[in-house]
Amino acid sequence: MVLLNIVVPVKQVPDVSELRLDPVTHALIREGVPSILNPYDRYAVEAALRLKEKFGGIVTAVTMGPLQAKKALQECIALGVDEGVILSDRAFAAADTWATAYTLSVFIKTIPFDFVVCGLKAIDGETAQVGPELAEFLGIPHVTYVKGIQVDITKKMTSVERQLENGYDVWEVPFPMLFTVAKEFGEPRMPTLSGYVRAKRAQIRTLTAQDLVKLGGDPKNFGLKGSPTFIPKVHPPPARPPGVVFEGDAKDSVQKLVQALAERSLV
Amino acid sequence: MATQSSFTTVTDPETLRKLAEFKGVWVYAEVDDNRLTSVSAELLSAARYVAQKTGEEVSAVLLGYGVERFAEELAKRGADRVYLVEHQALQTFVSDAYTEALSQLIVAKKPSVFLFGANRNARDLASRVAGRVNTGLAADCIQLEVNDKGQLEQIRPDFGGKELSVVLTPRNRPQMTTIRPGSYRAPDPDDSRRLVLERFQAKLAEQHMRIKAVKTVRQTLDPKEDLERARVIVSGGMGLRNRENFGLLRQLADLFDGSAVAGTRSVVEKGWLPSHLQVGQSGKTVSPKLYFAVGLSGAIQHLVGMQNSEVIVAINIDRDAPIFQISTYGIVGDLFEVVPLLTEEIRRLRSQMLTTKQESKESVAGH
Repeated sequence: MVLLNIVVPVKQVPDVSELRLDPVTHALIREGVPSILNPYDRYAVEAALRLKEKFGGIVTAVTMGPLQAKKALQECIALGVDEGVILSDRAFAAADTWATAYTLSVFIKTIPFDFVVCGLKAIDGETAQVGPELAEFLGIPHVTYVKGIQVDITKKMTSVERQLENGYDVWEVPFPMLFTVAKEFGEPRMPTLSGYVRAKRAQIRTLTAQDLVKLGGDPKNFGLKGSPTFIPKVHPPPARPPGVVFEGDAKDSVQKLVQALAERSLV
Repeated sequence: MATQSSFTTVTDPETLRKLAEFKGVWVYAEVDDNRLTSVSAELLSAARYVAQKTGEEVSAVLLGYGVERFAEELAKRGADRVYLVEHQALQTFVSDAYTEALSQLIVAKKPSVFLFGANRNARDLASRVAGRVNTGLAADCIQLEVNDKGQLEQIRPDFGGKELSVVLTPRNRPQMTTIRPGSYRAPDPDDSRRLVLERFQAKLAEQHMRIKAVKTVRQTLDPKEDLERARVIVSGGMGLRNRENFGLLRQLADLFDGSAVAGTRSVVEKGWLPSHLQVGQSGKTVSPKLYFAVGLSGAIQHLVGMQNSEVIVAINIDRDAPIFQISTYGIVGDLFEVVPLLTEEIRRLRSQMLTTKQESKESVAGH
């Protein structure tokens, strides 16, 4: 029996650990960096699958990006997600968090949903903003940093535990609602062999900007044009002025260091 | 986010007129666990810097219930005006009521710049508010500047600090930013500053109060583990070899008031230190007066969390370790030899200084 409709917005990101700086210009080398499913989104998929396993339902993963981002959706399907949808159009390119959330909301509004489950943040932009902004456009409550959720299906009510830097909160929140998932929720599962087979065969639905306009989207709000924020400049981190390095006899080095610190009134 | 500069200049007179209606630099004064969060005071530093460039007023916004007692401190630390929004539904942070109350204040008073701390609750709130009032939000910035067009330059590290982006919000107001804790130093309180308090009544309806907070649990941090407030941090990496050797760092740290021991991600993953003592991209961002980097090479993910420290001392056996490129002082050597010597030498200097003081006192007494 299908009970819950769960939507998981995901993102394909460059594998940040593979990014290197050009040794001469100190600029970021973007070419040849592999793309992966945002690691935080795996926790969102996990949370969605646990809800599905408990209550029954359908999990749909949605992404916005170039067509190659279908691979991220296939990864979700290999984990157990039922359907994949990609919003792909040059008009969506260079969207900031506001425009991304808007664009996702245009599609999500056209399908039934009880829960929208997001990753805590993406490892490239690290803003953690798309979740709350998306909830705003969908007109539903949202809860960030969720480490546990209990659902009362008949009352359409949840009890959620949210992890903070210095403690936690317990909130009661009616659904439909959106939540972002903290690592404390639990380790995400690994894809299975049969999952991979399913992912390979899966039909991924593709929607263009024109499709979204037909669904009621305002093209003025897509991509670069629709983004309130712009990045005119990107530069390498500033180099600190070169410091003093003491080498040789340890005792001698330590004395020089303490002398220098004393001159700055630091010891 | 976009990179085309043609989008950064506004020429349309109608838009310019609308933008000009927004004035003033605001900070979100966050109350959590019955106190102002430390980043709230830090934001006042950033706001004063911006306001001095734009010739505007600085206002702090206090949201909550029974929080008026914090207004005085905000004034003393640099707020020209404090907006006080009190409502029973704002007793503790809940995203829906807080968003609505704050958005109503923004619509009524039209600030040009609005700064939030980049801690979890404030980031959550700022995101939803930006959605509601339809403006841009730059996340987790470490520095603010104002360009020659009077636009706020919001500077943030991307890709774990591998590059810096300058974010503009050219056509929307307020220009909203979250600022990473530790990026600015809180201004000292100035007792001569007078409080100007302005109350604002938010109208909250049932649809704005769907979320009910049923439990709020907070732990107070041992001051020896409060990295964001520590004035001196002694941080260790894999060079320490095991958990027990962190005792060496503790001995050095104990020589300083307001000090803490910290470590890199690898050290935390090994279980040598608990995760709240991790400095770096996936841990804490710190800016103490003095940071000892001991037996850690200086991976970019670590550097981004400590590069704002005033003085950095690196101790490493490898002369080519990247940590030496950003350190103020460095010692190339075996940490197991250097750290005990350093601890001993500081002790010796301290006792020497103490003796000199006593001698000079005695000689004064002798006259």
